[in-house]
Amino acid sequence: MSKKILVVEDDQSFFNLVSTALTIRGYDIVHVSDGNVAVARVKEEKPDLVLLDIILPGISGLDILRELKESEDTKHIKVIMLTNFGTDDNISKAVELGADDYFMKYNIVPSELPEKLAPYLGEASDSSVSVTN
Amino acid sequence: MLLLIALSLLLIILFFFYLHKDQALTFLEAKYSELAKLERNEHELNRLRDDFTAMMVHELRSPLAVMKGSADLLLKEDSTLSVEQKYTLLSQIEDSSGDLLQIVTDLLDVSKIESGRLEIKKERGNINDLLEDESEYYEALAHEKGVVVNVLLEGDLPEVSFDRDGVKRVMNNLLSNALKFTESGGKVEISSRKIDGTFIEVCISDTGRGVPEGMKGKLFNKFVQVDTSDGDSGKGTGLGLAIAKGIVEAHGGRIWIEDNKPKGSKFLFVLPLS
Repeated sequence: MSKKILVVEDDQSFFNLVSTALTIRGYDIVHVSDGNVAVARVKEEKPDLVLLDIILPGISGLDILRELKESEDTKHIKVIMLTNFGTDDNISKAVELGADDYFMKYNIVPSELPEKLAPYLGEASDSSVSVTN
Repeated sequence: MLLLIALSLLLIILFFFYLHKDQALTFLEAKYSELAKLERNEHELNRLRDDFTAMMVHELRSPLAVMKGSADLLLKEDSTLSVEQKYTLLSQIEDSSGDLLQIVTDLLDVSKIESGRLEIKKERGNINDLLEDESEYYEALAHEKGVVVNVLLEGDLPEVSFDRDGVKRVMNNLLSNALKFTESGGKVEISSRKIDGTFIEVCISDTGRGVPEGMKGKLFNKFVQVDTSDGDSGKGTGLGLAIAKGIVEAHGGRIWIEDNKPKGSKFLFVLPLS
């Protein structure tokens, strides 16, 4: 069964990028554009990994992270934060709240993203996931 | 002898200061208060500059990240991507480069407005024609979001001299804001009317979350975005309304905001008929 990645991202173009890079490597992608329902969707979908944007309309990704890491149902799920403007404060706060990693969006090379995420999905970074088209 | 003169002078100064100590203290307090105010202003300016830098970095990096990432996938995954996926990635590059260009144009326009160099090319025409075109475009976008657009244009509006591209930009800004802040099930209304035979008034109202009272006064200043109680200041450069104000005022008109009862905002602008 393919691994499921839930992406909380309000920027449709950036989501398309991440989604394309990961679906061509066979991952199952769930998109949540409204941060207010993110925690409920994570509980419902039970993904293997969450990619979580920090700047979202109406709610901060850091608040979602806090809730995910405080809930017994979701605290074991790995969470990687995404942002285009990472201040030291934000980074240390995310780490403090239990984020597993912190990616700057403009530094992401989508063709290398599957390899970067592999360790967080319990896969060796050079393992190949079945490619679907 | 010299020492004696110096000591005498010092005593005279001290005596003079003692006699006028109240005035001297008031003077010193006023100077101190002025200095403190200057320091506060400098802090405020530094804070605004830092906020602006952070916002611009975010606004410029977002389309750049999409362009760079889309190009990477197109180059490295050519054999894996479907035709539809390639089309989407190419479209994203086009859209994002358009967004970047708009940010640069907006920054230049704000600078032109501030130095009074904004060019307005007025031509006579019926403003309703422009409003109809704009409504049609936004009706399609609103429909996708589940928002209703009502158009109430006064039938026999007289012709007015206006810069078509400029007023179109004002409308685009006001309508995209109205749509952005109106939830599904809400309503956006566009209306026009003649006032006293001297002005044409255009009003764009929405049933969105409205603008907090404290924000209304500075909403048309550059780099200002609506800060709401939920902590969401929205995205964007905060230049759109400053440019809209510059364009309307270059026509000799005025733009302002009112509450839309019972919910939402009304943005109104008037252009002179003569």
